Amino acid sequence: MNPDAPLLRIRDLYVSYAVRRLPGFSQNRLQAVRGVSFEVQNGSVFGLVGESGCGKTSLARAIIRLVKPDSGSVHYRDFDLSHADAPRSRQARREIQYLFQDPLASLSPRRSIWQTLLEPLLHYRIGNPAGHRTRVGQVLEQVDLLTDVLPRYPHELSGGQRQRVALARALLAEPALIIADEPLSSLDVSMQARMLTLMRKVQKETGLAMLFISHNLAVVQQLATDVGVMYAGELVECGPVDAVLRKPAHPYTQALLDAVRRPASGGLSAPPLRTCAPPGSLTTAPGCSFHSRCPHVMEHCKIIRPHDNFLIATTATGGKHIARCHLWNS
Amino acid sequence: MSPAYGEPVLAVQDLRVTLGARAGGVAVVDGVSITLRAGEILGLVGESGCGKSMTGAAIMGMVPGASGQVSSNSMQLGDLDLAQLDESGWRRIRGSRMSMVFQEPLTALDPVFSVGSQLLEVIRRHQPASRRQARSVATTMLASVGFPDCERAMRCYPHELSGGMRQRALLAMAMVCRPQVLIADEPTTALDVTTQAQILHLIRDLARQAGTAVLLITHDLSIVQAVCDRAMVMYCGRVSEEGPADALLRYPGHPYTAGLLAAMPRLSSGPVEPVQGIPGSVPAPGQRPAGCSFSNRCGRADHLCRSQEPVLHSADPEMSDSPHRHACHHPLAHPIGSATA
Repeated sequence: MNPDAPLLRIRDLYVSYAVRRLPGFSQNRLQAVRGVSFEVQNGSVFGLVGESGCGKTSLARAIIRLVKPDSGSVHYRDFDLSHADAPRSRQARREIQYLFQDPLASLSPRRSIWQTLLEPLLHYRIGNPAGHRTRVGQVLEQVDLLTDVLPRYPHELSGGQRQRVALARALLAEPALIIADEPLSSLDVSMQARMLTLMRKVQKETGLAMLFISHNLAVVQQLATDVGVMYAGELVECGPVDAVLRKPAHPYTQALLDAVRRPASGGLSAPPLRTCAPPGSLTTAPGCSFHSRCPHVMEHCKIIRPHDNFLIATTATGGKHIARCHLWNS
Repeated sequence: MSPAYGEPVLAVQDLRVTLGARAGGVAVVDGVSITLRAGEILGLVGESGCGKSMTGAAIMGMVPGASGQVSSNSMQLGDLDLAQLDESGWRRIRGSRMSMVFQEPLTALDPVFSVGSQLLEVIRRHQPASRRQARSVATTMLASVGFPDCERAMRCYPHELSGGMRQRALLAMAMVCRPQVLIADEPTTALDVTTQAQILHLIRDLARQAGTAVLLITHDLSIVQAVCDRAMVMYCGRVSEEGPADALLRYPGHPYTAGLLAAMPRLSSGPVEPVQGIPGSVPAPGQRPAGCSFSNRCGRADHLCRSQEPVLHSADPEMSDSPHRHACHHPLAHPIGSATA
């Protein structure tokens, strides 16, 4: 296997859902993900940002095939996940672990934490049974939990403890990639900070790669090496975190940054976006999907769909910085 | 009859809420005093379980009598003594002079009634308006909270709206009678950042226009920074620090406030400052350590902190009546005079 090949490579992925035909809409499929391409390198953290409903979760679920993509490809290591044979599928299932938003929903209420944590070891036949308790103990320590949580049930734990149990369960499968879908949003600020510190520590120690989904750019900056910004199903900007956050190229990224930036002296800084909601993904209006909210809208933005424009690589790592916007047409 | 901007509208002295009947119950709110002034936004901040929502519920008269007892030295809404109200008295006040917005609008709205009918109910219940007048008040209100097509919005059911739009509908219901006090309990926690900013703008603008005093309950200090005039930090049912939002965020005196600030991720254009969480967690009610309740999580705690409970006092040693106050034996030092700057 080529050591320089990306761990995960997504090419032109489309996901849609069948919906009831609504009055005024010509089609009855909701386009959740529209032509997304990006790569996650070994040992890096890719932060995926966007508002609710922009398709982040659909994209993540399509990667692990919880939903079936319409078209496009997902390559994991050197094979295509949609055409992988059984052993390779099994390998990918183990190596790509998913951390869900709400741990109370993703942990079984009827199993003790010990039973929950034992499951990946038994299922993937990792280690020998005599070593299971030691292994679980090690991973619990890694996520800052004491072994006294083992006989307890999810409802007896705090939100922060539950999310750490979910992380421990993912780590026990010895993954190469963790897909974390808004893992912090059910926690309060202090717990968020601890979880974030913990995830950074675990990522550094184990060298695993992460696809980290969040709606908050400030959170993503804490962890990510690369960032992708999604809007209405499209990846509108993508690149190394420094380049994207310091020199945002897409007006939508700029708006997101304004929403979390610290105002210099009290009060609100930036005015909110022009309209309140992104366009319904049911419409296939021509032009750029952001044009109705964009402060820099031009005539041809309303007619022609922009393509990916490469910006000059701005970082030492030479990562590609891409914006899907007419402002950068050369 | 809305009072002038800045005039006190709600004064609560020494509020206590005890839950459970066992052994005298457990105090979840323990001696909190709040004054709200017309048109201002007071942020009430703390981690989950520190008693902030319970404080809001007690002010709205919504602590169920079977499980909790509320007591206070005084609880005045203008010249009305809230402590004397019976349930029918409360029903006249709630929705008209005091109203509330909740975290999860989908559970606060009734799924089987349209937005319009729920809004009309509030108006017809509290105002002597004809059907037609009520309808025109309702559509105007929906327009002012940002619904582009009010006639359509009136007919919408809660599940047909996005999270941000639901929260706008809830705000319309809360503000339609121009209440003197609005209690917003984590109103933007379920929303994403851009919608969050819009809803916060909206709350601030509506409060300024109607002269409503807002108690904004949140765990997120960046929200305090964005819209609040004053802030109050709660820990274990007590106020640990209070003051003008600017001073409190810039010169936190209590280590708990400083801890919350360090936990807040901020965008930086330079090297990323890693966030730091506060070690440990809020002790369960009834299991508070002796002395200062924060002492078991605090890096500055010593023998004094573990034996004697600190009281709220001025953050500025040269000004005993400074509005910036904290309850700490060993507050963080700041440049002299900066506490009120």
